[in-house]
Amino acid sequence: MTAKQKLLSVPHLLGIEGLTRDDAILILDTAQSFVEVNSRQLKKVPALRGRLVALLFFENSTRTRLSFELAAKRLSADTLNFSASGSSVQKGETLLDTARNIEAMGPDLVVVRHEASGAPWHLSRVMSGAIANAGDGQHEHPTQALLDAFTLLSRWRRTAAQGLDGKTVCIVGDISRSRVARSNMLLLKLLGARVRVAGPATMLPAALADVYGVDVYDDVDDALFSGDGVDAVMMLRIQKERAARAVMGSDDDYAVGYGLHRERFDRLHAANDGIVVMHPGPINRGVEIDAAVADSSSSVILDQTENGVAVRMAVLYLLAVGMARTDVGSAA
Amino acid sequence: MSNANLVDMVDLTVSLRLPGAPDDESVTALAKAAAAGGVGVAVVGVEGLSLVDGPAVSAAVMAMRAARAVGVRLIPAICPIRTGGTLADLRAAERAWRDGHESEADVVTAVWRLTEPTDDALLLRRIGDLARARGAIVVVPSVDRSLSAGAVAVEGAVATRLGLAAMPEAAEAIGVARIIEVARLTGARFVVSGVFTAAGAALIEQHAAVGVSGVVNAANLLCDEGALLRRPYDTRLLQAPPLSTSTSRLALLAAVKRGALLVSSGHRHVPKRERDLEMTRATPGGTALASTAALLSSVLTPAEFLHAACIGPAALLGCTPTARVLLPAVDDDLSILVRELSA
Repeated sequence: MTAKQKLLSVPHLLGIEGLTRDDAILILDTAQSFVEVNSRQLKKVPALRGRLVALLFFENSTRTRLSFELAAKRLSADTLNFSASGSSVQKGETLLDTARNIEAMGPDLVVVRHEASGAPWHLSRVMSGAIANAGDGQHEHPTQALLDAFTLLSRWRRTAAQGLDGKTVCIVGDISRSRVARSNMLLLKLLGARVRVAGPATMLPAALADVYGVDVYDDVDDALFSGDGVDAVMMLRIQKERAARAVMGSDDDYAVGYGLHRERFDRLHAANDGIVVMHPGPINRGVEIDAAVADSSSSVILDQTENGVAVRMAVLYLLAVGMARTDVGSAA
Repeated sequence: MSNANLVDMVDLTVSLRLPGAPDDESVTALAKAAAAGGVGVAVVGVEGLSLVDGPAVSAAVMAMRAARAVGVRLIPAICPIRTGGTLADLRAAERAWRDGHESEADVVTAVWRLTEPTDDALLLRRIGDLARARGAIVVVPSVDRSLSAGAVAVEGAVATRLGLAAMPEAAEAIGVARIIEVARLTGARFVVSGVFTAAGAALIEQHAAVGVSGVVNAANLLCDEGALLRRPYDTRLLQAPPLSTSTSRLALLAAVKRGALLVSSGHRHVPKRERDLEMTRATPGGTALASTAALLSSVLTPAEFLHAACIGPAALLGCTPTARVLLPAVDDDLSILVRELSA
């Protein structure tokens, strides 16, 4: 790290909204330094030794949870794992009561995933530690967007400061229910990319273009092939647990209409052989993306997962560095 | 006027409530209000399907008798239709109600209240037929269930930015249109509760002759969805149906001023423990509206408020002919305990 450590402008990472471009660049540059750490034989640094990181997952997670846990451990932090299943939450305990009890154990950093939009914001009002949002309802999933941007920058051999100017990224799927899409729209725009979003009309929330400044399409082929085309396509998972069924037809209908199937990918690849295919996972193979496409050389899906650790190390580190700020715990 | 009693809010969507304190909904609250001589009309509900033969009915009937003892006139409000409820539930609740009374002399127009919206037009038709035969008024929420399921906000920039599950404004227009057609079909009087869109208000106003009225929650006259951005995720702003857009809020306010819509407190109780809950887990409600009249004084004149919250609903319930003219400081069927308005 640098002799005089730069600080984020915010005490918590509640979302991409609220971050400055400098914040994003700081996180991505810091993540780059942790990539080197992760390539060592001994993948550990003492940056957070003696710090306690609470991982509060009120909602199921595999990648994000493991990634945050690994990130904390590689920074030498102690971790406190909480999951709603098997906890007092199932006995009717409220979010705030749970948080206050966790708070009594003195965590320095709190990573929270919750099914309700705004839950991390709630916790930031009552907990003294810095909060990192690991996904809240349909609202935001900032570390996913950061690792996605990091992956794109790496693929295109750009620094964070160079940004994504001149690149066009298309996000396809259930935009309405996707926290990944919201965070990505904000961050990609912040880094200078042009963003297109596509999906069935029932999966496109109102006022999307006005709120995020993106180009909106209900025909995926228009989104992918119109104008100068796209440089990267991000396929979103159809979120069956968030009632996507009510607003779409069958899996086959969706795959044909909006999925990145082989024929559509071949056409995309013919138009731009450097096309980058992304997916935040978990994948519904054969629905939003063909299995062969997901495993193709254009796919950076596993890179996304790998980069997630470095990005989350950067987030935890920077939040910990910023803990000296007096406004942590009183974001409201 | 400082010492005068004014007409109380006649809140068609409220049951067992101490006037001026919509938080306090209990038999005790009603008894206290009655003992103070301040209640002219008591609206008592029989909530819930499973309560037809249960202690709630007994409590309600006891409250009725206590109220009658001090000369209170009664408006039974029966609320039997929740999700999955049937007409048989309504009949059972009505029967239980009538069996609990020695005399109906003091009972004015009955209010049947559906606590949940229904998309079942056949059920609505049968309720309408029964209500017309009984002379009852049916209070029914305004939204189409399929379009509003799980929604805590109106579709638009605010919900999109905050990632809140949202319903289109069309959910209300569709729901209101269904109610209007059922009213036309059955001849029953329907009151659409919780009107929150300009389109819904316009439909109701255009079809008033069919026997359809509308009630807007006071919250939707005071703040719109923009409040969610100013104070994000404050569950005290959560309404069912949700807060209006600014355009709709102004249209609703204009409709109230024209006398085309009535006003209720949006009384649903929000327990204190829920006020800090995340938006999607909290109970919708309007606890902050305990002093509805005082709050609405910023957007309505006293005369407008009296009509929207008192005289209009009273007329709808059939009180006016026996109450003569409802005016402040006149010996009315109704009296009020809203000091803020007279201050």
